[in-house]
Amino acid sequence: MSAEEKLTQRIFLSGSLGIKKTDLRKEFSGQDIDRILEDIVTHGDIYIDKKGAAYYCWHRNYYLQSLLNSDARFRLMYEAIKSLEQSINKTSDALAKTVESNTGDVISGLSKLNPERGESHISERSLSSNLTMQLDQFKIDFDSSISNYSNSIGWVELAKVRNELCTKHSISHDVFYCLVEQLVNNHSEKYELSTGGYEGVTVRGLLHGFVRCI
Amino acid sequence: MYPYNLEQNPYPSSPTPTITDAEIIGGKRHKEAKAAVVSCIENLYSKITGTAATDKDFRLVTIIQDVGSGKTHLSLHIRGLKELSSNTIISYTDLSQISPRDLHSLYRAIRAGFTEDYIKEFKKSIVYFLKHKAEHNIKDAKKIFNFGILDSIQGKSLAYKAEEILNGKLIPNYSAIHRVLKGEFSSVEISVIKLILEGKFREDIYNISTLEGIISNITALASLNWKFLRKLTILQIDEFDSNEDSLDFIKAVVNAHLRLTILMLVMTPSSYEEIRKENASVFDRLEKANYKIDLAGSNTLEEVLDILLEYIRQVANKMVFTIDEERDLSAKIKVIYDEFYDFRNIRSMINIMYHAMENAKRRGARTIDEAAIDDTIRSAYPGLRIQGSIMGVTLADFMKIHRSSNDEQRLESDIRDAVINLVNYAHENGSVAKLEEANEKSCGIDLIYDDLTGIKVAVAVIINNDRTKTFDQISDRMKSTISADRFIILTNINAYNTTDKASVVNIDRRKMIDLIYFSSKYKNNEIMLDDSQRALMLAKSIKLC
Repeated sequence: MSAEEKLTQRIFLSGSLGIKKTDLRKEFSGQDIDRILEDIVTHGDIYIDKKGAAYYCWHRNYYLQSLLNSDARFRLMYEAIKSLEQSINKTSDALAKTVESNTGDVISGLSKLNPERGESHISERSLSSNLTMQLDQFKIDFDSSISNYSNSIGWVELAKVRNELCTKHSISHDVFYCLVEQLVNNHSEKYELSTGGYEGVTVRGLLHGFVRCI
Repeated sequence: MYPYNLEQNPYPSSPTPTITDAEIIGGKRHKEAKAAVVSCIENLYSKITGTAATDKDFRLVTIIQDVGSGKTHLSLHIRGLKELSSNTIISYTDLSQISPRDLHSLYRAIRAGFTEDYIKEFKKSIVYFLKHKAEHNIKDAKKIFNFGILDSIQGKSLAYKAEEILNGKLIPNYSAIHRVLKGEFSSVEISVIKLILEGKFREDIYNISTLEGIISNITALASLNWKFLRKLTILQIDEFDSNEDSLDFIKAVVNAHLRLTILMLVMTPSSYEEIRKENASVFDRLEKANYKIDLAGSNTLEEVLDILLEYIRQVANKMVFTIDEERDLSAKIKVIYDEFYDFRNIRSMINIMYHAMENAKRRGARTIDEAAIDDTIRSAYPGLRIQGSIMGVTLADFMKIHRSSNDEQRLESDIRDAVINLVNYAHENGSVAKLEEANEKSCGIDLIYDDLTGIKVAVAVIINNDRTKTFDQISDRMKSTISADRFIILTNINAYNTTDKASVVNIDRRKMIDLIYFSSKYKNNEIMLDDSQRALMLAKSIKLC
């Protein structure tokens, strides 16, 4: 193991507390610590900073944690940036879903306009592909919504779930029920529909407006 | 003789269960629900035996599930249970048959819900009770039987007189009844006893003008059932809904805590929700029911299978209807259940099984075979088409193709032939240029043709796992050895996506059956105008043109 590697390893082992430069000098006496440290700092593997009156060294894996532990202002700023990042991620996800959903609706609309050109099946396939992409996430939210709204015997009006999920996923009424139908058909052992209500899925000519998880 | 050596068709043919149909109960969920109700009854019964009944000896049971899930079947089954006949009297009322609905019609329906056998048994117990009093010279008990010296001289005993009352040949002395019983029974109870003796139990409704009066009468009846018969009274009310009078009635019954009584309300989740919106007070009481019977999962495959098999198990010899026979029949039922969402309920399945039994009997089949199911579906659901089928494949054809598609090797060759036939048909209709002779079989290519724009298209059909290992090899070989502009891989393997090497088109089982169905029609020159459009649509859906 080279001197550089040994030094890096030693600094790494000191964790988020870091290690004093003077201590390193003592430990690695006989070696040009300053030059070696300069080289490692250039590679970005370690950081050197002043803490009190002494200079400390940290491995890159621990430097951030050290700053978060010791500098309150830095921690606040870091948290603000993280929150901003999450917010941007959510907005970008929602935007992607809206675009996806609108694309599906446009394709669906086009297929209705051009049925005689035999394009309807292609549009359906595109829409179906969009729906499949959404289905996994939709299932998670659908299950959660059922558990939130269900009555003492587990049943919930689909309209209540629709209100929440259409807003959350920015999907239309029709797309919502299309997804519900797929879910129930694919997981017949998990979901149960019941007749009644004012909106829902039609099975055997009967409107099924209630759902529950078995 | 029916299949499995049965003398009768075990499946009911009526759309709703009758008391006879309900004698058999199958399915894990239904059996658990039955056990819960029986346990409720036995608990209450054992609690009361030996002690005086109190207001606490009332139970409320709710059964809430969708239409066609077996709620009525369960209720009727409980009503007919032999094991409960010694400790319960059950009145079954179907509210959907009562119109207009008011307090009187509801009360009349409850009284009508008791069986004739119960009324006879009740009357007999009362007469014997009075006879016992007469034999012990209690008050004017002998006068009830108009028993005098002349009767003694003529050798007529009290037992003889009692039989005459029971046979309607002697009218008892009602004023004497009142005098004999007044210290022991309430006036309402005495009036109920008189109604039973007079044979007017079901008729005398309008003398009671208030809800309070109705509740008093039901209370008295329950009390008498216990005193004379040692039986609990169970009021089953089916199709309970948010009708205002029904809600008022039930609220009063629950509030009255009818001792020695179990009120069993049967409704749908939709009705339950409407009750919540309509009457918070009643809803609150339903929420606090002692037992909430849940038939969750009553339409799952496991439940449907067990119910269907139970009908045969109950009547067939185990040596004939063996485990293997069960397994074989289950596999046939599973196909219907898996493929047709509309049949995922017990009613539809029982209907299919009923007709299949009849069909098998006509043909002399020993079991319910595929032909019986096919014929049933063809005759009972002639217009039914497979959901999502471009070719509009009928259920019966689907079944036939589905069975043959279980042979993997045959399936692959059938699909390959079907694709070739489809491209040929597209060519005949001017949608693609002529199919080339494919000499690249060794490369895994099944057909080559030019589309209308002059682009050369090479197609490979890969079905099931046998050739998955060579999937990439085929793609590579297609690129390197064939001078095609476009490559299509038709496969049922979902593990691959379209790459720069080839365009992958996933064909699911329905699409495969569409292809085989088309191919069969094409080979037999049976393509009609409607089929023609569908066929071209099918070709486009798998990117052949």
